[in-house]
Amino acid sequence: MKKAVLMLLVIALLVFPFAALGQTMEPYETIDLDLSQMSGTIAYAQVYQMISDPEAYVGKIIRMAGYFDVFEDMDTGIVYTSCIIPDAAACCAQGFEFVWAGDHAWPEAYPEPGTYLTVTGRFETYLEDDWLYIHLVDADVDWEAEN
Amino acid sequence: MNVFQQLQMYLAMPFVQYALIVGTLIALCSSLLGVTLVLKRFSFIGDGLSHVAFGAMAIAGVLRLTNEMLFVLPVTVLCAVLLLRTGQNAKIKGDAAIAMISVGALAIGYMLLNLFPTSSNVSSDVCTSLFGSTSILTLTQLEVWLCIGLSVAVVVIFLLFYNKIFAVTFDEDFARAAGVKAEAYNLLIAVVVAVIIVLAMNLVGSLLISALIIFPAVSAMRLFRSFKGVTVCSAILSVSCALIGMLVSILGSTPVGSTIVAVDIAAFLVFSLLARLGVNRRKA
Amino acid sequence: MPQLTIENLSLGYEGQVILSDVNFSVSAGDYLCIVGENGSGKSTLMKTILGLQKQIDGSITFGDGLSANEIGYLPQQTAAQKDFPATVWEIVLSGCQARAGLRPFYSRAEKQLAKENMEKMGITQFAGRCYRALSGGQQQRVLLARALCATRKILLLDEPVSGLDPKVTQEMYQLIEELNHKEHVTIIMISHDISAAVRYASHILHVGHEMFFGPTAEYIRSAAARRFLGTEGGEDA
Repeated sequence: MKKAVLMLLVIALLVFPFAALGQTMEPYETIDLDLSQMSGTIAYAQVYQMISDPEAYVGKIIRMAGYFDVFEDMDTGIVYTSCIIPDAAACCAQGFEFVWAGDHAWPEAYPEPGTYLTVTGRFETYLEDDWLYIHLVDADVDWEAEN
Repeated sequence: MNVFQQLQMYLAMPFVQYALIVGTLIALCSSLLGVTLVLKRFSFIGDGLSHVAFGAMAIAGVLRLTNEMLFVLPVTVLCAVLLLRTGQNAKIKGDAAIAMISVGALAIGYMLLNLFPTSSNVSSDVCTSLFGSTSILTLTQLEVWLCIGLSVAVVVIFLLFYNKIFAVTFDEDFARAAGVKAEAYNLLIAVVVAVIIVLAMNLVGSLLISALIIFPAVSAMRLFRSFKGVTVCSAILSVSCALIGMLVSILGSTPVGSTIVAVDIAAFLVFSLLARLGVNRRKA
Repeated sequence: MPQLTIENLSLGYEGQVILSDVNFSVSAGDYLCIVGENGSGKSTLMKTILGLQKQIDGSITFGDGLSANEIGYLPQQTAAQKDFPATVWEIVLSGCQARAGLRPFYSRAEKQLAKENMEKMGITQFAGRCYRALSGGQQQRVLLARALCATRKILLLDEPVSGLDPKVTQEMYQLIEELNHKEHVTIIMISHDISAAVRYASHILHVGHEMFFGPTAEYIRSAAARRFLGTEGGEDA
């Protein structure tokens, strides 16, 4: 099943190289849902909605802001990158997986985990081990470099 | 974006609309029986039941029930009946029994959540059930309708039995001596309280339910001198505090439950101050 | 036929007998005072008659057209009531609750009854006032008006004058006597005040180690009274 993801990743990288090549600061003209402009409480609830009813959001362009987090699967070698959206109660933070558009060397090109970043991408679902997962593909990632 | 534009954007979201409607109804319900609970010394039942509801929620989670409320509700109602019985029969032991049931439910519930985690984030589950961090904003369609239905039922029952609730609250012995079925009404009150607690868990979480029930009633009692006045005032107060609390929390990114309770506390302080200043000298 | 007949009654808490072999009867228009030392079980006896507590043995029979739900009760005040937000009108009207049955609201006739009883007790002007702001005597009048809404036949009063000053106590006794004489309401009253009891009551029930039941005149001559009344009773005998 992990292979499927790998395939998906490969396909994503193959099909959308232009987005990465022609990457400017603002590749997405319209954003359907901008979580970065919402309060923590609302953003949390919105993410919850996306998790509980993913079909309604497939294909939507979504922007969010949060902390960079990484999970590396030791067996498959796949690196999952995500954006952690903190919540108001400070205990129910939710991670949102994203796939950075373009070819970036891991880990050199990536920010340090914990860096505050803004991610804009297209909402998609995928199956892995019979579980339905959600992520943002073809994502623009932006962060302020540390001095 | 200024605050008003932001608010406008949030209010257009369906889940925010549901939260405001359901939150208002829950606040209304929970304020109605506050006076009765405080004056009948039933507050302890409310407190005990909220812990039971937490335990039941944990069991529902472990059993992976799709709709937790449908399990939590009957369990809490059953415990309400049991607690009422023990509370009335054995005078000293009753207190200990309630403490045992409520703390026991809390401990078992927390343990179950840790032993059989339903999601990767146990602390998140616990936090949501205890403090209702954002539950009101994450209701499913079925839960929304269930909440609306139950709230309306609670309000209708309260209106139909208002005079009887007053009679058994003010003087149970007199009512019973005159032939009023006080035990039946006590049971009714306990069942309605259980329903309110299960509802309120969605709004403020199980640890803060008592605050939602008691604060508006106690605040209203500072200023109003008639049962009707206190009831109407605490209903209006509870709904206003819940609405203000919800709006503050979605705009200011504070947790919903504790923000509502904070507004309730602020209202209590204002009412106490007004009472000190002698506003209550006016009749009724 | 008596309104209330008590035969071989034993009562107490959780199987523990406080009083046993209680026998007495009350007929329409009687004024019965229940006297006895503190802790002799007077209040428990009254609660047992009212059905608030199960008797251990014996029988309580209602007769002469009186049914168990036509009793007016004036209980001792509870701590909760001292802090209760309710107007005089709300409380008096609640006396009609048993009449209202399952009907959610009070009828016009019930409201009229509450008004009449408030007038009888001279508390009409307090209708909108808060109960807890009234004086002790006024509060007792409110509770009496409420009890009258529940019955026209029999009133059970548990120490109606406790905590009242002498003048108000006197007024209270006169009010109860008037109800007994003019309205022909049967009175059963627990009293600490033995001199008032023998002055107003037609019958006396003395509970304790020595039991007595009979007309007041007989009670004054009895051994139980002599011991209980002390010098006062001794002189009379």
